[in-house]
Amino acid sequence: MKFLKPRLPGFVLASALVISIFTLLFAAGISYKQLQMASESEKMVVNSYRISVALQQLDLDTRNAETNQRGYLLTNDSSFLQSYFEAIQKVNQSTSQLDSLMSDNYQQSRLLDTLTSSVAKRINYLNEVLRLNNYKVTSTDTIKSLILKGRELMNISQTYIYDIKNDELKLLKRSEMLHENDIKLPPFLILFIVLFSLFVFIISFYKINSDLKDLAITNNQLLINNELFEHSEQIADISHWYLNIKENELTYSNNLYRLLGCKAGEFEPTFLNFLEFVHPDDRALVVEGNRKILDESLEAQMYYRIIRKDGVERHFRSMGKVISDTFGNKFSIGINADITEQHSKDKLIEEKIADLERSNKQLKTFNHIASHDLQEPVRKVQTFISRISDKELEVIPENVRDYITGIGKAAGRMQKFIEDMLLYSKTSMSDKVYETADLNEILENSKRDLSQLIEEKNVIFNTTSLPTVNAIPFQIQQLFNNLISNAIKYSRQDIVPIITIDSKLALGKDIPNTRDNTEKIYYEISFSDNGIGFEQRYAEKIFDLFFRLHTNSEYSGTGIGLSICKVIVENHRGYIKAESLSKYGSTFSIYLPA
Amino acid sequence: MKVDSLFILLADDDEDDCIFFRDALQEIRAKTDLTIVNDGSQLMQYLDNADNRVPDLVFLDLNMPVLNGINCLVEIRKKSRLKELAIAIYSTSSSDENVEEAFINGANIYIQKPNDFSVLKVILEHVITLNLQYNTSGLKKENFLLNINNIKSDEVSKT
Repeated sequence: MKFLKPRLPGFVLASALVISIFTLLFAAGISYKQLQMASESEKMVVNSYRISVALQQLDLDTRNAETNQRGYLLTNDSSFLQSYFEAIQKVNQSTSQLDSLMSDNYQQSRLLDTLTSSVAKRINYLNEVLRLNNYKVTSTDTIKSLILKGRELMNISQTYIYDIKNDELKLLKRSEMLHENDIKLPPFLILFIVLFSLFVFIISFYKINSDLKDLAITNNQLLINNELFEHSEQIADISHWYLNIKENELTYSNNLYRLLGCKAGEFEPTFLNFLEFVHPDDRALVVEGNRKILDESLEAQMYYRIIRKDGVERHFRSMGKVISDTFGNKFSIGINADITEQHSKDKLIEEKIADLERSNKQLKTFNHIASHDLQEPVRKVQTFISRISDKELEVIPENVRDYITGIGKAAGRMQKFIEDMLLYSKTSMSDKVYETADLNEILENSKRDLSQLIEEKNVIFNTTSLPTVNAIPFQIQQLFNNLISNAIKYSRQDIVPIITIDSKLALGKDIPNTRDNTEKIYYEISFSDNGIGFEQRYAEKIFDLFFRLHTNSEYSGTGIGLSICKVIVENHRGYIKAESLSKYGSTFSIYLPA
Repeated sequence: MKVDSLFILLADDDEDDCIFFRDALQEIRAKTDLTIVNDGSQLMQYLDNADNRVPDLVFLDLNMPVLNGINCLVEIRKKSRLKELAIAIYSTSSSDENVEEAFINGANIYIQKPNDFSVLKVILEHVITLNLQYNTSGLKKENFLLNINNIKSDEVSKT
């Protein structure tokens, strides 16, 4: 199963959330400030216009007062006087209005003070002219000079009004400019922020969605794996448990209950409850194993018996260790396996091995007996006979001499049997130490070992160059000796024995009557003779132990020689085959792995 | 006690073999003195007694009751006084295990008891003429086991 890589799953989402919150807070702050600035600018503009209107009104009212004063002076109509006072009142109103409008601007309020005082002065002159006119005490010249003075003051206040207006206009222009700069950026910024937030939200949504999908896939996989696991446990007779060490929470797999002969979840999974099933004699062992796992965090393995709910005794093998999960929680986990079948098989194998060892020991004892005790009487019989001198033999009756000769021959055969059997068991049991062996050399050794026989029978050899093989040299020597001495022994009386030794390569599948159907390469060494041969139907049987085709009076033998040959080639993972046409010689082929 | 004769000690529990040995020794040309002990413990008792003459050559049977030939061989080689004693194993068996064990434990030569009296005489004559002083460096595994065929051809070439 492919697991998702461990990571902090909330990290991406948390960062998206934080980014979004900050972006939105930033956008909100900017917007709030922009709106505040806009409303302030608007207030300033309105104020400016009000001031401008009020100044104009003040100018108008002042002129109005002057016009009415002059009208009165010329006509003495009291309605003019009435209007004059109304205009003065209005001037006062305008002045106080202006005062409130410009109170927040120090420079302007000072300009206003100057304007107000100049307006007040002019009003004073107007009032003075009226008063002088009423009392009719003053000359026209005085009045004229006062009027002139009033006009001069008028011009001055006019200049002040103009100044204030100008100043106000400048202020307005500056604030408008600032305002314009402020307002130019925000719509773009807000749009950007909104788009960005939207982007972050979409990404987050996609991410959450894909995580949920992954989770669903993982869950699904987990479900399948759990099923497979449970199924495997049932088939393999194994089970598992795990213990959350911190929480002391033990969990058993369903199969653990089954192995104990219970239904899944039949009892509360605790160590003590499990111990109830353990064979009383093995409980201490299980407790100790469990302690090793938990206290020393060692990997432990134990073998013990349990008694199932139905009373049947089973053999268990348990393994356990401590692990940590990705959150750092410590768990001890373990496998309990029912190994009863394996245990009984092991026991059977152990018994067989013991049997084998016993019979091997017996065979060794037999070998010892054969090489000492069995040989000794035979040897003594022969020695006693050998002590009868030729002179002594001449003086005894002929039939007794024949008996003695018979005893000697029988003892000789007995000795040969013992020797061959020892050789056979030695060949079967000896350690297999492989060395490089030059078969040409081995053939020469054989010719030397059998030189007496070869000279006696004038044997002719036809040999080709033989290969060098990996073999147990003394066994291959024995094999060559046996095959050559056999060829000489079973030669025909009337013709010179010819032994042809040939070598070639053969494939495993080409060797007749074998299980080897491979392309494996073998050396095929054949020993052909022109001797008496045998009937082809005995081609397999002649390798059997003690099997013989001739009586002792024809050819003496023990029936062991070819059996030894077969054991030797089998020791070398090779084959030996015999082929013959009766009376026309035989061919023995040995196949040794190349 | 004849000083110029070779002193031979035979340790063998088999009466017949002892007789064959004694008779064969009497029939060969060399002058010899023979003492026979019938088991391993007798042999050790004899050798441990400082009053007894140390033999020139010991023929040691392997298959003896109580203390067998190999046990004796090991005991003898442990004693500094007998370290150079010439020891010929004289046994019915010629099994590889026995030959190997005798060689490892320091015997000088291994003789398989022959089944022909005349061969026995040839062997004894041959072994006695060999100077069998125990010498580790000269010991070879190849000619440790006495091969009768080799002696016979030697005898033939001599005559």
